[in-house]
Amino acid sequence: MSGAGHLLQVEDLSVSFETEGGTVHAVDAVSFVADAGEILCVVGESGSGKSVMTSSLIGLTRAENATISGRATFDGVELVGAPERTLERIRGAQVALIPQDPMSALDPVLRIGHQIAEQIRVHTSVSRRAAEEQAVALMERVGIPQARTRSRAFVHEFSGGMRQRIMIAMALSCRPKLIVADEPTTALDVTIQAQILHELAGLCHETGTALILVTHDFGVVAELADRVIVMYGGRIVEQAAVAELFDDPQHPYTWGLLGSVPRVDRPRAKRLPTISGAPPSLIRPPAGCHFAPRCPHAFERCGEVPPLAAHSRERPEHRDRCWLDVAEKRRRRVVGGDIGLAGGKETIVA
Amino acid sequence: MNAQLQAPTEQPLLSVEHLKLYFPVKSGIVVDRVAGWVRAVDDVSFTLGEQETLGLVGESGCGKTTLARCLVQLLSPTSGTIRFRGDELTSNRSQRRLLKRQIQMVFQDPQASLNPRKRVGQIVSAGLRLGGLKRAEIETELRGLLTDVGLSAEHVQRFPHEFSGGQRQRVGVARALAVRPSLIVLDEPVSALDVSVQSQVINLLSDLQDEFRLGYIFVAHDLAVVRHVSDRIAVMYLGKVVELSAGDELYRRPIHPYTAALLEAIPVPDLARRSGRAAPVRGEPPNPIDPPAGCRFHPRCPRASDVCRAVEPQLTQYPSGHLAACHHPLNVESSDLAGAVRSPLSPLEAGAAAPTLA
Repeated sequence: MSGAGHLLQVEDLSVSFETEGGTVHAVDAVSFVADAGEILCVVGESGSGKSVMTSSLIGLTRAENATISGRATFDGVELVGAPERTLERIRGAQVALIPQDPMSALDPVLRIGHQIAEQIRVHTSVSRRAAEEQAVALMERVGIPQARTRSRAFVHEFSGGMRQRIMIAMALSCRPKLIVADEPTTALDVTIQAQILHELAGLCHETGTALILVTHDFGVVAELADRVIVMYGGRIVEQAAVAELFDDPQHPYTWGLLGSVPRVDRPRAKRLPTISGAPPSLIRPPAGCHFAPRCPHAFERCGEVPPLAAHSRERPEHRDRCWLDVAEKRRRRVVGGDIGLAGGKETIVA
Repeated sequence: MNAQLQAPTEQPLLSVEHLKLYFPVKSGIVVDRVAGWVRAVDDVSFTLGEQETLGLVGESGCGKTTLARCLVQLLSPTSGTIRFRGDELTSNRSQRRLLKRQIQMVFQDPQASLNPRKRVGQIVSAGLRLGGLKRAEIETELRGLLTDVGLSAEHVQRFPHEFSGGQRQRVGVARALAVRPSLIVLDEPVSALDVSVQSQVINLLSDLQDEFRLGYIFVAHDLAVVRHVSDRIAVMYLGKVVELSAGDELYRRPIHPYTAALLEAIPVPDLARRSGRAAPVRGEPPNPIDPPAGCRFHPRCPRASDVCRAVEPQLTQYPSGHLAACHHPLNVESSDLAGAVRSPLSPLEAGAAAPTLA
């Protein structure tokens, strides 16, 4: 893929942390692109590196023990190693972040309207009065009732769902080109989650904003994503357009994830298919494919790291990291008529 | 419970009758004054059979965790009774200590519910020591318990932080099993775990249920997980049970509009569902200090009418055994309505109005 035309292009991004126990390879040579107007979902379990990856992009991984390498170009500007001044101009104005926990992202002693207005005034030159008017308009837009009155309230006076709406209002305030949302609805109830995701996706489509949505829920992916990245042990193991990922998943880890979720739309099974074992340590990750120790399909070659490669000429965008050939994968991933990780060893003790 | 689901001669494992738990809301600086009550659990009744799993679902603040904590006597109810195999839990003290062993709990966050300074052996065997076993017996029991939950004897000397989240939850399960209970209250036992580990723990719980003949109360907000594990499911909203039925029936034919809204809101990993979804239910659960009059769901309900705003709906039992508290039920025919009766589990203050088709 050539660099031109993509809103965000990440190449070989690696992030590691020096700790007492050794070096934690949180993100390992990740490459992907995001385009205007699309929703890119990043799926993975805890420790898969998905949050570190997204926060490194906007310069929020600033710990002294962190090492970041590779390239990430946003709208023609290199982000990795960029001076703090450059990042400050981009962050909030062109790239906005919606965190998982809005309570810790909002100031408890400032009125909400004031906080949103402050954010607007940092990035644009408008009067305080005008910024506060804009804040009220934004709050109305994200569905907060009685926005004018509520703009005088403090964070603790809002429910979890309303707080997340405030974060969305703040993210939208400077008309960013990219919004990074890190598990924005994980702490919310399902009915509220449905409202917020609907709203967020609608607003992004309306404004042509690109959205990178980090989640662990394949239901959310099916609902919203245009493209999907599956991460495991700091690496991208599969990336594809959403329809291809669900219809023709290539990596055994993806099969396992799709297969092990209980489904309300299917008849009830006595036992759930499982993935044996636990996610790898990122201090001493397994040599070769990170998933090999848990993979019932692993063979000798899995001791080498598989490249993230396309498996068919027709679909160069659908890439995965697995040594099995395509025909073999198609044969092995079907378990009882459904996608799953066959032959999983039932007992575990990692 | 009802005649269809349970023979009247059979004693339920657990029966909860008109249980209420109100928390006082205090105000005042020098002198505490009770300014109101949070009706966390407000007249809830249900029964649980031997070896049955009852799923308890609802959004945060609906009272499901408070109810779970009442069952294991971590909280004492304001009123109402809990009977375990016919014996009242709330009555005398000596009885209560014996009954306490029969009902154990597994907590949501295995990180927070295991003492970080104790070894796994000490944590799991605490219950065994109270049971007056000899040292050697405790050793054997302990090894057995760890194997039962998929850990091994070598883990005895380890501390909780040396385990992964899934393994820690296994330790929590082993601790609950140690006193040989008949009922385990599982409060969100898998929601802190990753997807790939979640299914391992769910399978473990189902194996243990068969092996030790356990009854489960499974509290969770994830409706897909609850459906997978439960025989029957109770849906709670603002301290009330709004619907109670066999699991499959509930998902196929929800009667209460709130249940329907909950089910509709679950994201399903299926692209085909993407276009055909209804708009999500509006609004948020109201403040439990000052709940709406009548049906507590009426401000968010698309079917609400005048009667919903004024009269609390009774818990109605339909001929299929399905219970729901709604004036304008979904998915019922007029023949169902003809056979519908007020359930004995219905809240005492509920109105006498029979449900009608909207």
